[in-house]
Amino acid sequence: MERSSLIWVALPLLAAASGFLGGYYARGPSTELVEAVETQSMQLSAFRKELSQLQSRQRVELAAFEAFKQIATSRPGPNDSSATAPQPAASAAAEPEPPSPESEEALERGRALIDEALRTGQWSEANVLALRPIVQELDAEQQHELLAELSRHINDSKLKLEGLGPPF
Amino acid sequence: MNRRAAVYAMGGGLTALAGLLLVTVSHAGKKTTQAVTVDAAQRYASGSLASARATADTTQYIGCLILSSGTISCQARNAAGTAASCSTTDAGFRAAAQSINGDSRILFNWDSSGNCTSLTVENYSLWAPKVP
Repeated sequence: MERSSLIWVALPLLAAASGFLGGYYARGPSTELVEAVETQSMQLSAFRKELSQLQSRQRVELAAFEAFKQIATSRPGPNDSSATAPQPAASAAAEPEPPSPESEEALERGRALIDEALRTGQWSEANVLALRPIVQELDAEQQHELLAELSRHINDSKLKLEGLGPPF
Repeated sequence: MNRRAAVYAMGGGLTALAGLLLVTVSHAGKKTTQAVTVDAAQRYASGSLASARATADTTQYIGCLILSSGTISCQARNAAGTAASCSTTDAGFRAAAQSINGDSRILFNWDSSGNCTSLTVENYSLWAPKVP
């Protein structure tokens, strides 16, 4: 076949192809696609409305829970006469028990023992033996208070250790 | 001295030398002692428990006690008789005091009220072991 004949065959084919493509792009979106988009848009709106309702319900429930918690923590016990005073539960649990009258009395004996030794400036073996049972009667804070006081006088050289061993 | 006697003498000498070297090698490693130091101005005391015990005097001691309540007290006295003492209820001090053993070297500081402000426990190999 000659070259001129080939051109006359190809040209109609190209024209047909371009016409098909031009028509396809010129016709716009299909009705099915438009309907699908509209349906999804409506569903999205419905979801938004439902979510908003759930959020508002959650806020109401949270407020009710907070109010209930406040009432529960401030509620007085059956024998509590101070009904109007709110009780901070956490701080009450952290507070140490107050020292007993017996340990307070033992602490005073310990202080008196140190004061007596300060008059002579000597901390003798007898003082060591006298202090040990007193320390056993004290709670931890009182022990520390008494031993720190004795330590202060030893460190300031106001009490000289006479015994061979530690001061208590 | 005949030749045989000289050989025996030389052999004995070499054996003794080898034994001496062996003893020296078997005791190698950094070793030291530290007597009790009390610095009242700096509010600082230190010393090795074993060294304090091994001193010829009857004055030196150093250590800490832990009461069942959790109160801790550390004590020291140097060769001159200067004593130091402090007390605390701090849980961190308790853990440190519990790690003290007979071969430890300890260091502690105190404040003007007799409170312990620091406690260091060293359990290094260079500190001499406590002996009876």
